[in-house]
Order: sequence, then C-alpha cells, then structure tokens
Amino acid sequence: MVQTSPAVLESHVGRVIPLRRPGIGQNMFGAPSSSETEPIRTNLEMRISVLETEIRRLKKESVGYVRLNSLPNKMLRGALDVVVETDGNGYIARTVDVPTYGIGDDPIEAIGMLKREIESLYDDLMNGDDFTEDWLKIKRFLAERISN
Amino acid sequence: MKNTAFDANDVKHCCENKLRVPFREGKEFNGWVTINNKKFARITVPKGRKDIFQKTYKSMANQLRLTTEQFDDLLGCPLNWDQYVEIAKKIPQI
Repeated sequence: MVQTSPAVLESHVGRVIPLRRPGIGQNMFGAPSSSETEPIRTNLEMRISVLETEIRRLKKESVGYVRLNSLPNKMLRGALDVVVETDGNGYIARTVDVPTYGIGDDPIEAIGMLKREIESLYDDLMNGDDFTEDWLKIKRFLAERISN
Repeated sequence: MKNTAFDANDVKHCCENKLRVPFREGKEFNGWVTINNKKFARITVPKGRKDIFQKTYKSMANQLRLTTEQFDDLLGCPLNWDQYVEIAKKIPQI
C-alpha cells in the first residue's frame, strides 16, 4: 500500500480538516450530544405545549372592558361601560348597567349592534311610562346619559 | 344549557306564541313581554343567525328574567305562559 504524505494529499483533495475528538457530552462537531440535549428538548416541548394550551384558554375566555363614548344617531353625554367577550366563534358585547347585548363576528361588529340596541331601547323607554319599576330606573339612567 | 338545541327562529316563535311578544322588525327583532299592562321584559333576537352561542343564550334568558334552565323549559315546551307569569310574580315589582 502506497503511503501518501499529508502535503501530497492536500494538493489533491484540499486541506484536510482533522476530525475533532469529541469531548464529554459533545458530538464530533463540538455540539452537545443527543443524550445531553434530549431532556432539554423534552422539557422545552412540554413548556411550549403548556403555553399553547394557556394561549388557547386566554383566547377563549378573553374579556375586554370598553367605555362606550358615542352612539350612531344620538348624543351620549356620559360613557357607558361595556364588557366584550368571545362567544362561540364570535363575540358578544354587553352593557354593565342595561340589559342589552350585541353580537358579531368581531368585537367591532358586536359593539356596533350593541350601540343600535341601546338607541332602540332608549326610544322604547321614552315612549310611554307603562314599565315596571326596574325599567323606569333604567329609563331615568338612560335619560341622564343620552339625548337626541 | 340547551343552546345547541334551538336557533334564533325557535326563540322568536316561542316568544311570540307563548309569551305573546309582538316583535318589531329592525336590524334585530325586539319585543316586550307585558304583564298586567306593564312592560316587564324586553328581548332581542338577532336576525340572520341560526346558532345561538352560550353567552347569547344566557343574555336572552336574562332579558326575559329567567334562568337558563327556565329558558330551556320555555323553549322545550314544559314552561307555558301561566308558569312564566308565576315566575315573574316572584320578582317583587309585579
């Protein structure tokens, strides 16, 4: 068998990079060996899975508080507190002080319907006094906050 | 909660037939339940939607001053007008 000197070999195949002798817990490229990284990987996968579950839960149960400052056709003198939440694959917006709600495919649509509902309720309440005491209280409450 | 068993039309028809609610048609259906000549409850039924999701269902029940179980019974038949009035009378203002 012909022995080839490193210089001759280099001239034929380029510079020979000697293989690195792996250290403890390292592969031949100096990176941690798979036995070393496996527990870290498993741990990271578990943590990502927990975070994904938490994000899904937060998306599902997310609640937003909004102050309603305007209505489409009437003047709102004081802001109304509104809670916006997911509902199924849509959204629901509800006023805190008045039993009305609006729904929509997104929060803006839900708030838009709620605004129409508030105006519609206001019109109903301003038309007569044949309401129960609870509604008369709501009538007074809305009369203070809304004007034509 | 039996929200998946009923759609918006079921709610509207039930309110019309059992609670004698005359609905006004706008972008949504709105109507009042009247007891002893006083407007007692106002319900909103969304138009153009079939499915009723949980929170919407609960909001409708609340508007009628019912629990979701009582609302289930109203839509599912056992609860009639007289029973509704009995429930309403337990609320002090009637």
